[in-house]
Amino acid sequence: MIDPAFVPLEHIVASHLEDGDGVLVDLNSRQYYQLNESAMLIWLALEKGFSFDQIVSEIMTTYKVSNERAITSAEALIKQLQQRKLVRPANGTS
Amino acid sequence: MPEVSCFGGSARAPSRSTGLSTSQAIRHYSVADRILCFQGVDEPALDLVHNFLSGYYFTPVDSLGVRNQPVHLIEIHKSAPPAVPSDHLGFEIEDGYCYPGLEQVVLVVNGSTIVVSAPELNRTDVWLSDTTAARHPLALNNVILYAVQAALRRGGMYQFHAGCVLPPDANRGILLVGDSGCGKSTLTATLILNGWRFVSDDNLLLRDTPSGVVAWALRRYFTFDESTLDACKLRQFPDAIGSRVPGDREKVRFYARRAFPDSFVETCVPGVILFPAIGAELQTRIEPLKPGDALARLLRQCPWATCDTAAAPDHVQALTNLIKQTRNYSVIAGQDVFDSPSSMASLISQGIDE
Repeated sequence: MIDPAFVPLEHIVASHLEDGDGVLVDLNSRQYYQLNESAMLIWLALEKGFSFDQIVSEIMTTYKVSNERAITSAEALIKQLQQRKLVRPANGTS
Repeated sequence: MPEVSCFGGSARAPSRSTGLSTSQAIRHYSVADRILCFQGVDEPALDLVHNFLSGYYFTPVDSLGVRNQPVHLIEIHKSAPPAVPSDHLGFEIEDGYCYPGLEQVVLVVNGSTIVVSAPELNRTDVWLSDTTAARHPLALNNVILYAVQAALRRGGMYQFHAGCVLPPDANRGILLVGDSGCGKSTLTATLILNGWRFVSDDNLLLRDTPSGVVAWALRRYFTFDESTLDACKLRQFPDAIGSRVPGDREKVRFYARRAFPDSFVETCVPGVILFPAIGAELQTRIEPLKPGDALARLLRQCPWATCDTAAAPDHVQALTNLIKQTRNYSVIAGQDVFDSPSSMASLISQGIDE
């Protein structure tokens, strides 16, 4: 399990769209990323400073999925976000 | 030398009546209901700016009678430019380099230097190079273009390469967005010839306002290939056909307001975005786009939304708000509209109503 949770980096601008999807703009690399609804749910939880457990709970509640599946989904997305330098550990620098 | 160091915010730009030295010239222009201020070492420097702005919907405003506070100052210098900060990593732009910092952006364009200052200063400084190449009219126009675009961005006005038309009797506009050559101007001309109204073929300003994102006409003329003038039967309006576009000799200026004086609309609130492309199929397809896909396409058309770091959050938010107020479609033009261009108007009307 990833713990503690991650926080969005300061150079990321997030657009929240009404259908739940979103777009992240990285002002350092000048690249942008499209996030689907479930990925955006996790991003919003990170913006709110949720812990990993809170994020998993949010996924389970919203999508009615098992704890295991929610953990797998959250870990996979956060790993991708970290690899693309869009988030950092809440108690770290990068 | 007088300073306008605290421009914008709660400060007001000094005018001639407030003691500005006679060695400084100052002019104000209105654009999209906002005021930009230009200051130069002499009148010829500002004549250069004026000639450039005359191709756009910038209206000179009497500096003594400026009521609204200017949102940004552009100052033209002839002294030596400052050095590019060593911690700014640059990237190539057309005719130069951009060195973005967290708040300040430095542009080196055709040998001249532009410094877009931190947002709270509301000023952009331009140092025109004295080299022969830098003094070429095209090079000077390019420098002023970059400086004006930056000033507009910092003033909350985002230049946007898109056409904008309104169907007959509609209140909301339709934006036509796509790469150069995708058919924006041709589509705009075709729709105007079928009774639609127009804001622009390819050059708009977007402003994010409390009542929605508003599109304003920016450039006073359309640009067409010679072949488009023929294909769209626009040669029947000889008074509207202007000179060739400097730097793009394939294109000709077309002053659409002269040909269709009653069809021009200065500003509108867009309600639909179309992303046209030319396809190889027989029939034209109009397909809805998800908001995320549409926003990604808009970002691709607006590179400065991700380059001017200080302005980027508001710029991206304006594009996001635009997507929230529009329905979005891709339009893949088939052979049918080439055989019968006038059918495009009804195809679009039907396609976006469904």
